[in-house]
Formats: sequence, structure tokens, C-alpha cells
Amino acid sequence: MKRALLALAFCGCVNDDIVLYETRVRGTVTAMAAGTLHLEFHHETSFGQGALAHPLGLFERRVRTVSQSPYSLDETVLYPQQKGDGLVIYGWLDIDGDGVLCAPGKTPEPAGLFRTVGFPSHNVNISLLLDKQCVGSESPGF
Amino acid sequence: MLTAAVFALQAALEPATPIDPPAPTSQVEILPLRTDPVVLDQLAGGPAKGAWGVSVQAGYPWFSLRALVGVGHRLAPLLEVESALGRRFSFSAGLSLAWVDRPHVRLSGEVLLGWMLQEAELSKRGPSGELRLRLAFPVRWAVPYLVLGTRHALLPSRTQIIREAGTETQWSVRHEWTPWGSVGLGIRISQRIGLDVAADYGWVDAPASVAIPGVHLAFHFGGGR
Repeated sequence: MKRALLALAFCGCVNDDIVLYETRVRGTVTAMAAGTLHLEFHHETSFGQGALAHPLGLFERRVRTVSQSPYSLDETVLYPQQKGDGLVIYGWLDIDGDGVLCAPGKTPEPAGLFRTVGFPSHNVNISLLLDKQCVGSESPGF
Repeated sequence: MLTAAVFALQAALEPATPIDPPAPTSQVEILPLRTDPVVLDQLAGGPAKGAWGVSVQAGYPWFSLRALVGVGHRLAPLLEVESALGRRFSFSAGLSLAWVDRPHVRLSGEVLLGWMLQEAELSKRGPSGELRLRLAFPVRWAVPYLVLGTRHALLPSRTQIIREAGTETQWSVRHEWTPWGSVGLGIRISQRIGLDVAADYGWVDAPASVAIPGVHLAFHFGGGR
């Protein structure tokens, strides 16, 4: 009753109406080195439709220290439902600790991308393989 | 017949009765009470009892419609509708009270409560309130004036988190502050009609935003004075 009254009181006066879908992402991240794992959670498409749909849309970043491979992943994220569709997880391993994915004269660093199937789901299992050197999340290489 | 003639003769012969001078009577001179021109009441607030006025203002970016009616003791309920270029609206009701009312100075305070609605790229809506000071220095036909105000709007938002166990709803409220200043000149055309022109500075969502000054021209009319 209280909730209904509150909703009624605010009826017509809601500014931002945000819907977040909680998803637990579990699985493994495999890389041939150790370092700092930079994870990015994206919508598969955001803004626009059809051929004009914008690929990817970052909504969450996480940083984890990886000392062994495969690394066991267990992350809970809040997925903004109104901002796009699908779930893509991109990761790269910061081997030299400079916080930058590759750079001239620096050690090549591995990256990988995983597209989930059957999303939305509250539980997602992934297997993220970091096997491409110096590739960004929006690269056609994925 | 003879009797009538005798009475007529007697009347003719009798000396005329002296006419008494008129008794002195007390005279009351009715002087008109000082009434304020509508332009002063509308710009400085706090009209006298029974005096009412309406202001119609157009400008860039602010348009408004404002009505006041005095109920005594320089207190006046007021209604106000304001718009910024037809994209932002506020509907308010409030009270105006003159604290200082002298021939060449009037200072009043206003409190308003209402609703704010903005429909544009950034839509906003929610309850609003304002405190306002009005100061005017009427001299003959001119009414230089200053308005200072602080406006506040509460913008509620809702976040729903869909968990496996159920949906959780959280409410949050953002505060929007709009400091306000106007300086202008009112012109009395008659007691019931007036004009004013002024520069406005309404800094919407200060200090997070940038605002440019505006100008307006207003027509004031009223009665009861």
C-alpha cells in the first residue's frame, strides 16, 4: 500500500526511470601470461537499429589481478536494459603495468572478446580467451 | 368673503418675519486615499486591500503571466505561470507581503510553491518552490525595481533492479537550484495600466550549467484602486 501511494505520488514526475538487470557472470579467462586483467562489459548493440545500430556500448569496467591461467571469473554486474541489447565481455591483460593496451616500443598485450548467447539471463557462463595481440574491443578482428 | 379680506390685509400689514441665518453645519472634506499604480504593485508586490493586477510578460527566454490581489495588511495571494521558450514551464501559487511601504520605497517578499516541467532534450519535472525579494523606488511615473530570487526544484528518479529473487525499486531525488535576478524600469501609464522592461538572469541548474542573460517587456493592468 505504501509503495503504491509512493508510486502514485510520483506518477508523472519521474525524471530518470532506470531499469537495471542483475547478471552474474562466471567462467574462465585464459591468457598466456600474468598481469592485470582489464574487463569491459558492453551491450552488443547500442543506439540505432538494423544497419545503423552502433556496435558495443560500455556500461561497466572491472580490473582484476591475474597470477595464473586460466583465471576463474565471478562478477555480478547491473546491466542497463534501456541502453541496448545483448551482452559482450571484452578483456585485455596489462602485462607491463602501464595501464595502456599496447604502445610503440612496449610489449604486445593479449586481448579477447566473448559474445554471450541467450541473454538476458541472471546467470551467464563465459570462456574468455585472450589470444589476439593489441586488439581493441571495437576491432573488426573480433 | 369679508373674513378673507381681513386676513389678507392683516398679513400685508404685518412686518415680515426676519429669516434666520442658516445654522452652521460641520463639513467633511473627503480626500481620496493614496492609491498605488498597478505597475508598482505588480513589480514591488504587496498591493493594498482590494487592489488587483495582472502582468503579461514576453521576452527572451522568459514569458510569464502573474496575477495578484490584495487582501489587506499588504498581503496578497498570487498566481504565476512561467515559461522559457515554451520548453520549460512552472506553475506556482504563493503569497506576497510588503514589509516596507513608503512613498518612494517598497520592499516585499514572496513565497511560491508549484510544479516545474521541462520538455526538451533534457526533460525534467517535479515540485518547485521559490523565495523572492522585490524592491522598487517609485518616483512620479517611473518605478525602477530589482528582483532577487532563489528557486528550487526536486527531480525524483526511479531505479529498478531486476534480480533473480525479484525486482527492487529505489527512489532518488536530485535538487535543481536556480538563482534569479532581474533589474528593470516600470512605467506608469495610468493607475490601472503600466509597462516595464527589464534584464533577467535566471541561472537554471546552477552552478553546474551556464546561463545567458535575458530581457523582457511586460504589460500590467488591474483595478480596485
